[in-house]
Amino acid sequence: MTNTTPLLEVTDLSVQYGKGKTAFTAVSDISFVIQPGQVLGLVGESGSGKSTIGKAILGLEKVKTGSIKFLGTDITHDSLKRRKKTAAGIRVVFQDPYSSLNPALTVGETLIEPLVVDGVKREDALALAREVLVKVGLSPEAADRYPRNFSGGQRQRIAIARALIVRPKLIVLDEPVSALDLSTQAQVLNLLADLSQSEDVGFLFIAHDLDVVRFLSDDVVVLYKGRVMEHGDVNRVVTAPKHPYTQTLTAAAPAPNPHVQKVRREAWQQLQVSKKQHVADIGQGCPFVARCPIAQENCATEIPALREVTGVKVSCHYA
Amino acid sequence: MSPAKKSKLPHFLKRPGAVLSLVWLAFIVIGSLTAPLWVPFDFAQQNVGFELLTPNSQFLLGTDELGRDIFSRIMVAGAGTIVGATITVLVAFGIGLPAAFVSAQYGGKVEAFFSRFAEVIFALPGLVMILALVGAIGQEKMEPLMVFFGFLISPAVYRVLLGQIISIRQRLYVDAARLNGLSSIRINLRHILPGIWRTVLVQVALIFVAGIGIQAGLSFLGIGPQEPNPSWGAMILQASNLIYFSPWMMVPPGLILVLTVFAANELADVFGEGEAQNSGVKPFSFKDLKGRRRANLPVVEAAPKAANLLELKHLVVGVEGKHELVTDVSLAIRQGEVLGVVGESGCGKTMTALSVIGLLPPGVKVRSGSILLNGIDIADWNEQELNTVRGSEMAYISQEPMVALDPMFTVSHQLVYPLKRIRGLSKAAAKAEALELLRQVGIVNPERVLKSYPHQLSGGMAQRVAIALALTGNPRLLIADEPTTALDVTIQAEILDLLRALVQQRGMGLVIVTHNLGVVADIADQVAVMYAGQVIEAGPVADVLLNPAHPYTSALLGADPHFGADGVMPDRLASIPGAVPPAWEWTSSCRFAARCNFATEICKQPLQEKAAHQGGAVKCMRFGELTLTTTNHGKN
Amino acid sequence: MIRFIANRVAMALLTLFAAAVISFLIVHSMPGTPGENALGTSGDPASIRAFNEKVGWYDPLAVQFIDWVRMLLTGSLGVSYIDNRDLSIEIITRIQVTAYLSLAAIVLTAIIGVVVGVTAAVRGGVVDRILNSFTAFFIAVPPFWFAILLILFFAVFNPLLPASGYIDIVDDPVGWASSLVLPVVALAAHGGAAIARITRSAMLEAVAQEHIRTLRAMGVPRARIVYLHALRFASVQIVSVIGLQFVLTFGGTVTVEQLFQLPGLGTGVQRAIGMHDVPQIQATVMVTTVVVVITMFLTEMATRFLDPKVRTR
Repeated sequence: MTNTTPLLEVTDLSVQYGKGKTAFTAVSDISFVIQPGQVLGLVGESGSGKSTIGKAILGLEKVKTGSIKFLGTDITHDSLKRRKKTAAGIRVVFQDPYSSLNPALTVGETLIEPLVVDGVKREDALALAREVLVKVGLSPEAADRYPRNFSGGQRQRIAIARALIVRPKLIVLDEPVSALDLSTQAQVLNLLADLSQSEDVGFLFIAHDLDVVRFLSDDVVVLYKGRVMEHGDVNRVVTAPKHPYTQTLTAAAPAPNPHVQKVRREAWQQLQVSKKQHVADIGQGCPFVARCPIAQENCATEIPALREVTGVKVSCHYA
Repeated sequence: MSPAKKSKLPHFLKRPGAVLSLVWLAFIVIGSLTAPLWVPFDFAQQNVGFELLTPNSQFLLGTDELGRDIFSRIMVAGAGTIVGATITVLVAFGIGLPAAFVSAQYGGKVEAFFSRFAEVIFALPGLVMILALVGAIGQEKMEPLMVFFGFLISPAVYRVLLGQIISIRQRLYVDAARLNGLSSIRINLRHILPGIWRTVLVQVALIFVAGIGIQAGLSFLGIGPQEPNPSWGAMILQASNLIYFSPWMMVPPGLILVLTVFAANELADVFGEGEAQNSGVKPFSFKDLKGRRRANLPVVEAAPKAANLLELKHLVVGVEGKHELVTDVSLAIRQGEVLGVVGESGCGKTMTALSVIGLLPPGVKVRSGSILLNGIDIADWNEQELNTVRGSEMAYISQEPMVALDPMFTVSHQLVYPLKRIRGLSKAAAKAEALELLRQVGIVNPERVLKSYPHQLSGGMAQRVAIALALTGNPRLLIADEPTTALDVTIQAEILDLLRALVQQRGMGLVIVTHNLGVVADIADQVAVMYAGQVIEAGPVADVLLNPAHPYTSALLGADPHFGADGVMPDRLASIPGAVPPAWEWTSSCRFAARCNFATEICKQPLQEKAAHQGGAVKCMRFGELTLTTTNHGKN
Repeated sequence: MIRFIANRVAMALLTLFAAAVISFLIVHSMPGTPGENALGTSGDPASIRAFNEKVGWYDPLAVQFIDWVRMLLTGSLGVSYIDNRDLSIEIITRIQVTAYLSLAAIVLTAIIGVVVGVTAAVRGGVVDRILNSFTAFFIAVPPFWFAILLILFFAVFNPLLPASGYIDIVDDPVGWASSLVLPVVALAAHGGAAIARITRSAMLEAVAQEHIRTLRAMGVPRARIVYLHALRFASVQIVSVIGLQFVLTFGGTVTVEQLFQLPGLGTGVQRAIGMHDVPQIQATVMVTTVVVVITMFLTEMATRFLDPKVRTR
């Protein structure tokens, strides 16, 4: 796209849990690039490895193979200590707004923690914290209160403020709205959309809901059992999914408009009927084979390569 | 504002036992450490002619066989006991606490090493080992024994604290601190220590008690301070030898020991309880299972068929002595129909569902209104009475399938029992029927699942089994409380397919509680939208979702990003400012007015219900004047 | 399963080794030499020296340790320094008394504990509060003190039972039983209170479980919920704490044995300490460790068996 240094470049990333016989590969051969200011959605169901990828990028999970480059610097195996130098521009917002804030500290203390570690004076840091709180739609006085005084949505704003306070280049958003109610979810999504425009920051937006991802993202990576199924422009992927898994995912998410939902439901049932032909998964081929509506014999034995189909990358023999 | 901060100390002081215990311990600690300065007699002073007295004004607790003042001796003896127990605590924590922090931090081999080590030490026979040490160092010295005991008991501290520290380390704020580049020492001090102080206090109290107990035992065996120096245990030994002459003598040292241990245990209890209390709501207790069946109770299954399978009339549910949680809710559902109850959290939808099946949490009661099941009011039925309709007339499916099934019994055991009890089947017939039910709920390998324990099932499978369980009694009404919320979206679609099929095949009524408007659009015929404890809009699904009459419904639809492939994704979602007001702030006027873009003066008047949709209703003062689209709501 | 057992056996051996090393080091730091202790410090220096030589006192510590372990491995516990008693026989005789005492106590403990704990949890209200005060009291009461109280009431004021002494089961079964009643009750009152508290909280935890709500929603009768489902759920915790309590009881009979003058392991080791009889102290430590290790193993097997999550793994 551009010839500037990508914000984040993930190449052939694999992460493995455990060792020896009990080893389990959580993600295999994941590659993607986020350009500065861009939002990449990472979508998948439980067990898809989406959060593992986020943790690997943050340095909370060991990488088995592959590389992670942040602004051109390889940070794949950097310790958290080393990352203070190499990856200080990467921040995170976690899913659970309740366990992500220390109940014993005031919001202000939580926010200024990274600054104080870097030697910023307390008063200056607190002043900055109040500024950032306003930026995320809270009052500056929020700094003096404890997390328990805030609702889930407000806590998530605080978590976003904590990420923003160090002027990051990339924020990993790990399911930031999954625990929220619809109206608060919309508030937080709007806030993130605003920030994505007003701040010079890119997002890696991890979510399980394709439509939520579509609202915020430019590109999307659809994951299943630790592998990329489909990768491309989010509108293309959602409106015309190529991969049978993406099709299943889109058809499964119910829409509140009864007309729209009727169409989705019919598409879903169509996929369910075709699924009946069933090719058994022997663990050597496409991870989606057992649930795939269009699987053929070779799907069970050959892992499909990621290939370009009308501008979108798809990992399917028959897409 | 939550009372959590203020209650830290006051809560503690609210328990009279705790206060008394604290006072007693303070008295024992301070009193015994300063005893030589103030006790009426020297502990060794023999008063000839005053032997073996019972309490009197001169000798408060009587005298021993040498005429020595028991009260003075007890107080003096206390100092050694306190010091000894403190040594135990210090040593046990000196080893256990750092080991727990190190184990938690490094995990893996380090943790395995420490834990193995702890296990070995823990399995050593403590008292016998200490006696062996007595053999080496002699009978007189107590302090080294207490150091050794502290070492032997340190695994207890290590284990408890390790568990606690690991659970706190899993909290995301610790991850956040690590990502902030905090040093591990700072993380431990700033983020972990504040989370474990209660547990530390509990353990301090318990180890202190163990230290006192072991010292009493040892000095009873003649170890520790030797005559004429007193110790509590030795005084009991002395009393046991004189039991025929002066039974009184055993009372003071025993009682002081009991009271001190009792007080420390009580404090441990209080600290521990505070821990549990912080974690949330009141749990169910055995009290909730009580109730005796009244004689003249109508039989629901024999009742003539009512028009509505279930009808709620002006139902009010509230916390006893406090606020309401559900206000004046009326709903109806016919056989073969699906009613969706939708709303955000804190709007009373789950409470409404739980009131029907009679499983409201402790302290929450139906205040007024009626719950008509097949025309018979069950609102005031107790547990035993409800058991005549639960499972057989209505069944309930909960949100968390993985914990809804009993982890201790096989699926077979859990399905067969209600088939025998409600349907009167023989064991063999019940087994066959259980298999058939599992097949009906779409389980591919029913034989295997029947033999499985719940933990061997995936979330989707567990929910299917829970549905099969709900079907065992052939109920006419199924209440499903967020049955798909915990599941992945593809599994959700499968479960919704299953529920739809069951309603069609069996002609059941289904009440589905959800926060997901899409689920309602997918499966429901009728919908009731709840906000702040009220049904603010109800009617046929297509009417309500396509032409919402209430600003809240319309805003909720605008906030939902599921527009469909053909839909155009807007730049910003419609969003409602603020949050659902907490139940104790609910008013009799419109509860949504403060967040509503259309609110005017009229919205401050008492809220009225108006007919809307086909046979539906809406609670909006401005109904009729407004043109609502999903986008005319302000953002943020 | 095989891996688990192998793992446990390895841990058991490690524990025994640790017990051996620690007790060996402790008793070898005793003042005086075995000869002096056996023959008295005023004894003839030559025979003291000969005695010390015979027991290998002048060998390096490691050699002594290896010799001792080797002897243990042949199944012998050695002979007393003081009077040449065969300790295997001595310990077996004594362990019988302690075993009868603690086994009877743990049975009574378990019964009292489970009945009281379940009653307190299920009945709630006033019953719960009364039982709670009782258990809180008995936990605080040291068994030996309560035993004196029992002696006072059942031996002194009403001479129904013997205040002390032990009668062998072979000689007089009734006398044997009555000689154990008071010590057993004294031990069980304390242990039972501890078990009752755990049982109570385990039952309350059980009834608050989500799956109990499912059972209620299915109309399952109260008795079945309480005594089948809740008790079954609580059983894992209850059984594991009973195992632990047995370990504590077995190791804690010393004071009660002393008070009632029962010829158990505890009084034996006390005597040995007084006379610096190194082999008997060591033998007692090792035998007690074996009992503890076996009890913990059985307890863990039982809880694993009771918990389907662990059993079916």
